[in-house]
Amino acid sequence: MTSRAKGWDVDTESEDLLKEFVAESAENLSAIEQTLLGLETNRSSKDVDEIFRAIHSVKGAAGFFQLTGIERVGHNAETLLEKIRSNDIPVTADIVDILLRARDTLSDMLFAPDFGNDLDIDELVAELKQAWSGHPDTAQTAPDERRFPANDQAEKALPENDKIENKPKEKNQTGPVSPETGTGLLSNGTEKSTIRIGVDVLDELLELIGEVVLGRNQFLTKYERDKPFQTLSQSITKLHQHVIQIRMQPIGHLFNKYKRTVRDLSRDLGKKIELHIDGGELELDRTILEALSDPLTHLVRNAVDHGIEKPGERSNSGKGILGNLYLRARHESGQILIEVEDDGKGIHPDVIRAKAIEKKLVTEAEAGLLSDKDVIHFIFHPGFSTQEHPTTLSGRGVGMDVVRNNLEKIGCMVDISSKPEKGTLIQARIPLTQAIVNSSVIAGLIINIGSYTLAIPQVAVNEVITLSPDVEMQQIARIKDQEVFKLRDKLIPLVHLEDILEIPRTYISNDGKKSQDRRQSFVDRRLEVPRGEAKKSRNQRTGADRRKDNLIFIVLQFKQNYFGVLVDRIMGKEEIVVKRLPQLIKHRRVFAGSTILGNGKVALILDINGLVEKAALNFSRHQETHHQAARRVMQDDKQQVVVFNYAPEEYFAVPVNLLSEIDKFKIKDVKKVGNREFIQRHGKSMPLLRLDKSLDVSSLEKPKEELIFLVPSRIKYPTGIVGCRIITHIELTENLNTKEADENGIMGTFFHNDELITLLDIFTLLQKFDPKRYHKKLSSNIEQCRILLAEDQIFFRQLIVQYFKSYGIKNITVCKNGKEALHALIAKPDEFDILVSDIEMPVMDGYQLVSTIKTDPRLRDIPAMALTSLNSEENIKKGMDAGFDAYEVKLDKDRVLHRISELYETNKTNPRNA
Amino acid sequence: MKYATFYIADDLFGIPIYLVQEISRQATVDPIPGNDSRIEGLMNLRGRTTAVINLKRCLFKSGITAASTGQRKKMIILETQDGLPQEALDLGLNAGDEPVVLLIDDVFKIIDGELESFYPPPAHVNETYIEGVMKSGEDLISLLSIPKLILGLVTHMEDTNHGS
Repeated sequence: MTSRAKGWDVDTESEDLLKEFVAESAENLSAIEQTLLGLETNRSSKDVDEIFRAIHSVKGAAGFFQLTGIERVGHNAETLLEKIRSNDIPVTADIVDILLRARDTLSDMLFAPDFGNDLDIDELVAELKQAWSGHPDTAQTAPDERRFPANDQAEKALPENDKIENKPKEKNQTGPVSPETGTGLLSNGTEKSTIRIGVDVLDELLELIGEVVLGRNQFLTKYERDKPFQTLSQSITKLHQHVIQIRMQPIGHLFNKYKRTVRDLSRDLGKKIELHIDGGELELDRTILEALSDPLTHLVRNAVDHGIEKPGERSNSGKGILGNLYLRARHESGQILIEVEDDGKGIHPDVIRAKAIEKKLVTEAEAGLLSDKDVIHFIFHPGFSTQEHPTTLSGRGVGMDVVRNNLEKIGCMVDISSKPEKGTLIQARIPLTQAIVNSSVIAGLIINIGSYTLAIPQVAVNEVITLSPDVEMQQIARIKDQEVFKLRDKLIPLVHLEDILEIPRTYISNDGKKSQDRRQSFVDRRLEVPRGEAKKSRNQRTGADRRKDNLIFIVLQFKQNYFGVLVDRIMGKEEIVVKRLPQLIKHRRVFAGSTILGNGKVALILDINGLVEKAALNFSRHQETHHQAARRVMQDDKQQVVVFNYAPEEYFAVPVNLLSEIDKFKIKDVKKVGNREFIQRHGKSMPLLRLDKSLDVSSLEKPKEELIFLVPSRIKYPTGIVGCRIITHIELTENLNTKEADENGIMGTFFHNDELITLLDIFTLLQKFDPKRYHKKLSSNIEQCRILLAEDQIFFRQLIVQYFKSYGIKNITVCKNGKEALHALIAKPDEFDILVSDIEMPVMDGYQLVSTIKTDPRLRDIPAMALTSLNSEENIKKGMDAGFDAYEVKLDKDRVLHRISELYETNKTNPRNA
Repeated sequence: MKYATFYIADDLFGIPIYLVQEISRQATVDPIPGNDSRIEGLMNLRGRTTAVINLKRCLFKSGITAASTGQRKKMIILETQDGLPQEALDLGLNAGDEPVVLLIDDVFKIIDGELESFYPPPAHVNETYIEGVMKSGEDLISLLSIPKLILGLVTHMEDTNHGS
């Protein structure tokens, strides 16, 4: 700022005064922007007064410093406002426009070198003059522009108490407090005195209070019960909260900025738009608000420019002329949700589809298979702009991908949904963990893993789960190479924290020897007792045994996703002070900082973002849908299928729960033995099944470098079914056409979005592929077997009946629940050889059914087989206890048939049938 | 210039006394997870979390380390750049921006460094961090460069980090 003021002898004192002038004027100017905007719709004399006073004091002080440019603009704006105040000039949009421009110019000049004395302000001054004089004569000789310190007229017109504005020494100054308050604290009559502090002072304060909390924590265990200490402790907590509070600002400050953007833009475009702000009182750390500013500007501009239509267009489509734009902020499940919504024309999925095809992001057929909701997400693709001719307003070479990237940098997750003709909604979610700054105090979960103590920010912890042996372990499954845990309706990827943190896994064998633990999965790691060896009975087990048996998972939240980490022990919850990492470990991105615990120990704080990065946990949309797919299967047993292609235009589907793994492979890694192809998988060779060799389908037109394989689950000899790429996941509706089914491995066909998709019968396929391994060795006259099937779900009924039919079994009676089956059995006990029953059924479940028939002397000799998707040990035991003779898992055709055959054989030798 | 000299295993090392803020008995070091065994862990140094460097693992090539493992007894808390006196700055000494702790086996003595003769660093020591060898009476003292040591630790770790 040195020497910016011309003609002023610059010494330290005046330098300080000048600084004060700039800061104060900037506040004044920024405060009246909102008031000016309000003037247009609601002209209140209070507002005019406020604007007048602000301009007046800027002008006055500028005169004092002999800043002629500022003074001239200020003077003319003041004169105009004076006339508005006396009702000589009505407030029109044009007048507000000029005043806004005057305000902007004043603000620019304030920060320009030489206080804008070289700026060309003649045009603006002329316009202002024209506005207040009513005619365009620039030679107008009215109030002397150079009069010092202020315009007499104006001075007289002011009520007596307003004059204090010019006297900085005056106490209880009623100037606007914060640069962007907008509401103008002047108006409510209460006087608040404020001071300005530098951010660095605040940060220091925060650091110091952090130290205090830390000291308090170390005394905590010792003096916890002392009354004076408790009081002190509470005060410290409060003090800390207050200091934190100072750094926070309401998001309304940011939102209000867009009132101007929306007003100016919509005027330029000839649109009428109202901006609605909701949740402006929600507070965020300044740094986050700063980071949000640019992306939100872009989104607001987009909505005004591309989203909301012109009035004519709106009334044609039956909407109100006034377009609506909403900015909202609120807390939602540990996150801060920010929304930008408009009621404009929305984004038409077909336009995006066409564009995506044009840009070769998808093929036409694939685009057809994608849902409208999925299609919209293409706008986040780099270089993807739907606007044919980008306007100067929003098409500044900045695409939605940049918006998303910028938001993701601060940990935001962005989502978009849009309905044609209805509008567009964009949501950004900020996890609360992002708000952690140095020296701040956060709630942390203190955990043990190996010999290490670590802290996890409480906000990232979704829940803690203790898995006891046996039962719950069944909830862990493997999808692709990722272990997942079924938690209620979610599938949660599990992460080996030891690997991420580079802790060698140790395995303590029964004789106490430590060795490296090479077991890959959590499930394996739990099995400390070798198979076949008896487990210790409950009372023989020591505490250590029990601990080893129980797995403690912490479910962490990352953006919208959850993942689980296994820890050895949870020490408790503590208020921890976040400290910077020492330089020597700063590069370890898995740590967010360090802290000193109440016991004086140093602990590292885990960085959830870093963990995800290091674990390369791919929460990409593809995987999400995969998980969602699997989730739906688990949730309500609706059949979810993976759709893939082989030759470009031929689509195949496989039920998701029949797959254990989908992965890519490179053709160059394929080894050939005669006609057969193999690939390395988990260190073993796995044969590859090409659909064109097993079925009557097209082969690949041109060789590809990379293909995918799908490995069916629950088979003894893993085989990879080769595909070209995964297209989508869909729910299989019940319109499966089984007429197309053939003996070679096609279960049926169905249509999805006008594309024909072939549902594969994996087990038949495999049987044909490798008859030696997937051989039939069934009872010779299995065809004669008469089966009573109890199954409530249509899909499975179809599937199972088809299993049986494929082996020539024709006599199948189908019941929808246990009760129906029981009635059928009681009615004709001699007409069934085998009962095959589902477990989970309405009215009467499988357990009840079997326990009833096993107590009925006429029925108890009929072999009963459970056929279910409940495959936990507990369920099996329960089933066998209830009286089932066999227990098989659905979809494993081979085993099911073998078991049927066995049961049939034994039953034939049964005296009842002899 | 005066040097603080100390034992690591049976070898003597020295650093300028200006770089020593404090020598104390070993306090509790909390281990941190990770592959780099040269970082012993973190300690609570008057409310500040400070990295503790295991000098033995930094200086000796593997093999010898195992043979000469003994109980560590002392630690040297290094001075920070801000804490260096003017004389030290005049001598061109550099320290880190934040405190660092070195684990040593035992303190030997303070030696007035009339640098009579220099020798190349001994072969079994990782010479990257050694500026030279000083002779004091019958004792050979390897002079340790703290900036090189810290730099070596940071850059090497960044390399491994990128590699992983």
